[in-house]
Amino acid sequence: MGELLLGIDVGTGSTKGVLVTPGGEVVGEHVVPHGLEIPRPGWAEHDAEGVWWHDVVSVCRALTSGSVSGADIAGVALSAIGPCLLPVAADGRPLRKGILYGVDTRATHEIAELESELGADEIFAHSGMPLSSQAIGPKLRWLLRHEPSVWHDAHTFHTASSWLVERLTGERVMDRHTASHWMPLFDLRAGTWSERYTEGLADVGRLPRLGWSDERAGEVTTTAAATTGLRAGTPVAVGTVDAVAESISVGAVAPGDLMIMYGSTTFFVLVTDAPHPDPRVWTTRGAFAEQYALAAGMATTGSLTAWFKDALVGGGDAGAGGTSAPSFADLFAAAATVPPGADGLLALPYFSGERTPIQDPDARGVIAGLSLGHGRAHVFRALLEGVAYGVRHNLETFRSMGAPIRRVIAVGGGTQGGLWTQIVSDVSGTPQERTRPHHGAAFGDAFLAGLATGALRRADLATWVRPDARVEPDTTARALYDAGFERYLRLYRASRDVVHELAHEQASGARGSTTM
Amino acid sequence: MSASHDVLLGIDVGTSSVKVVAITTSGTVLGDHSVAYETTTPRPGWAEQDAAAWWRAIGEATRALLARVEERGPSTVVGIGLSGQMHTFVLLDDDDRPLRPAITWMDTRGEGLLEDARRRVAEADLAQQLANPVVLGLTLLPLTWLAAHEPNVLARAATLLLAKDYVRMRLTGEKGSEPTDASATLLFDVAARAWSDATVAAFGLPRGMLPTLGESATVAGTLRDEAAEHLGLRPGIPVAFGAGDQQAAAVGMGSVRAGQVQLTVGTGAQVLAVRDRVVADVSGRLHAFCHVRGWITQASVNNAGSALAWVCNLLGVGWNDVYAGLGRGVGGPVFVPYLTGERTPLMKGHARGAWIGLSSEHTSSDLARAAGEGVVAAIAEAIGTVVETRTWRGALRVAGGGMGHATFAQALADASGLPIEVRETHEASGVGAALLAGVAVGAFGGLDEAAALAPERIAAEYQPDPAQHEGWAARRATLRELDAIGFHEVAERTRSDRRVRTIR
Repeated sequence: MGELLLGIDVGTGSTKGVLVTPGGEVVGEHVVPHGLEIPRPGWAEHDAEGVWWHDVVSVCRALTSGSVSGADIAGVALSAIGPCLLPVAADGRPLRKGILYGVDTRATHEIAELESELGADEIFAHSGMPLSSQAIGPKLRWLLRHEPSVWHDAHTFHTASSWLVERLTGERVMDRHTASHWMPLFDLRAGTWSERYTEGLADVGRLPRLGWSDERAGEVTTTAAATTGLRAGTPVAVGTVDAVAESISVGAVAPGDLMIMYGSTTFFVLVTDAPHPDPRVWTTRGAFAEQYALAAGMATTGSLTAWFKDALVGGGDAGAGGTSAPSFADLFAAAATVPPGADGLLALPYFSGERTPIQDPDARGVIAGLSLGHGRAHVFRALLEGVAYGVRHNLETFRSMGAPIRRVIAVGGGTQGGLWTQIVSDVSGTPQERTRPHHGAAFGDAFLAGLATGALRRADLATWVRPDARVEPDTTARALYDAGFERYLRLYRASRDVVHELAHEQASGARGSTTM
Repeated sequence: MSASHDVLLGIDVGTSSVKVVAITTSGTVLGDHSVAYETTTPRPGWAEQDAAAWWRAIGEATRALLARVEERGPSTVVGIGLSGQMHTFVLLDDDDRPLRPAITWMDTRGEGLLEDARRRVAEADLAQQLANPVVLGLTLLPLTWLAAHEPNVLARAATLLLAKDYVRMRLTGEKGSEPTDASATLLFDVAARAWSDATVAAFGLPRGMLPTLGESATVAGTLRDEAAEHLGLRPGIPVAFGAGDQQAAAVGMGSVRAGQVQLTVGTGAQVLAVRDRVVADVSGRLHAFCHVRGWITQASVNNAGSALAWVCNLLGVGWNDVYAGLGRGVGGPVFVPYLTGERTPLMKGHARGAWIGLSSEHTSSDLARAAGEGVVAAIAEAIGTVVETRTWRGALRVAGGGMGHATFAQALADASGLPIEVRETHEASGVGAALLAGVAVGAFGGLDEAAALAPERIAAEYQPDPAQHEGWAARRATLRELDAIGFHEVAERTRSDRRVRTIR
């Protein structure tokens, strides 16, 4: 029997699997891209069979087809986008498509309904978080109201990773970090499902049992082995959501470790050893038994630079100039020539509303301070700085809650080239580390698989993940950015009411729905 | 024998070029020619021009124009009129030679002296005479700067001449000015149509350097020999006093009677209402200047075509993206057009531009349309400061670049709630100057007859669409609301931060 560890992450845009030796060396990798379904504005779905299971099977088959066979794999762990809601029958068959995490905002009405039914303060006291589009409780209520037969027929309500674990092992088990988002069904401090608020949502018996991410959930069944090429009996870990696996993959596993993920959005995971309930961020249980995780997320980051590149200066509908669209490298190089403060430009990055810490879905982008002397490079730099102010806003929120930050690890596409992370460090006065290698959440999953099989101890992560570069804040720009941050907060407050009016106009206006 | 046309020349000494226009005595435009000159910026905020460059450009432009007019048949120039960039001035020594480059209306070197100037105006109780806000650009401020920084230049100055008045001196040898231009210097008693001795005294300026005054549509002198040679004309042609470019443009658009209102849209926009008395605005948003007969009230918008050109360049879009769908931008962002600070309707030099309410679903076309709407809304706000739009009955006479686009003109009608007559007024200032010359030499029976030649050039008319009223009212209200909640003061902090960086 082999010793390789298989980690698989099902992300928003693709599924990735890696095979890793117990020493942390990646010996195989396979990626399967997939799309996102937007059947209506505000809805986001994945076909569980056609995307999640299909991708996992493809990854397993690809990674066991060459010199490696299923017998060489000692353990498996999965992470996936989440929290999702997937109602399944007693045999595990999905009864509808998976309703995705916070990008799916269909249950806005049900959030308000549950808050008035149960009391927003009571929900917060119980779950450690206010209800948001990330919460599963309102989506369960939505299902009961709009698709009652599906709700009634559902034997189990899963998230993506727990359903995949059931497909592999036959076991119904969900990690407690994901369960933290199933509010108000989860009791944060007890770490258990609660009978208290099941009325009109779901009985506890219809939910998977709970486990820690590094625990063994079960073993690969003969059926699953035949489909995937894995060896029957291979241990499978409980796993977790992609963001937590990502934080493990960069070495953020000790209290005080903060991962900043610069992706299409920016995501923060701060490991703590105590709960810090605060309505501005998300307080969850961590991957490991003694831990909590504070999570926070912005609504744009890479999506904002992509907007600038493609929608703004990429030619639009009827560009007259016929100039070719600039590359990201061009844009970042030009932005680097603009001094800190973008010569008086200031941007609010809330182009898709904002998640933490302002929790304002009706916020919108603002670019202020424009004069005839400004060009594209100024606007692009102002957007980079706007995101950096948003990162600082989240860091200051963590600190104001009394959650210590001992180490910041930066990861993701936005770290490439180093300009953006440098601006963030300068704006926030916070050093950031880069670690290597960069294999993403699947690498963290492989480590979880090693913990679940007992082949690894948590301290072994130090050999898997090594320090790389370090970004130190430039103190000469500190006063300027301090003033800029204060103005960033003032600009949001000053424009908020007008912007909310415009956002409502956008929602009720004649603009057609968009698809992705 | 073929009849020789009588021709009137209008010479407009503009901000960036001289434009010479030839018209017949029946008002037909025969042609025009422009020659550009430079504005120099020896230091940030300064904006100077060389008066000799004006003179060279006039010779070149007039000769080129006459050559083209001659191709259409024999003609005789019977009168010359002048208009020019207002507030811009040159100081001459005893031999009528410029002592230094002309300081233009774009020059901001007097900024640090504004507070002091306002205090002196208040202390000497001059506000009613001046009838205008004490602001940068008007002649008084750079003059006080010269008193402080170049006192020997001021001591040697025998004559102060405004731009077109300098050109007239070169044409005729006579030094003089007239009320339309002089009333825009802050050295003038606007109601009395005379230099304000009290202001000159309060600021310690030499009274003797201010020239004698004539009326716009009268003959100031005749073309002298060397000037005739420079222009390619015969000596002895009568030269009229003319008017400042805003008032000359009003004449060129037929606006000479009290109650008429016109709008000119170019890099900026000006709203001008003809009055039979001085109407000063206590809030300082408006200017009250002399017209060729009576007075005008004027509102100036800094950011119009200049802002839209900047947006097109930034976004890489064309003007059609700006004009397409104007007024149908529901769900789009809002554009605040005050890129260079704004006079009317805001009176905030520190204001800056912004896009507000941006979504990742918006495209460059949405941002471009928002810019067009923002500029139209701001112009409509400026119109509202000059015209009581609910009670005023008449059509707004509109001219300028962009007015050829029907959607832009319709949007202005909808946003302002006023009917609009778009006038084909190519080089309205030059045409107006030529018409004034025609009155001066007796080619027309008077100003009204000259102005009556203008209505034939209405290019298009637009009625406000009541269905669009609500949308535009909302856009205008958003601009006012942003001002009221202190949005522009966030931008002002940007400037102070920049000073911090410069010091460090």
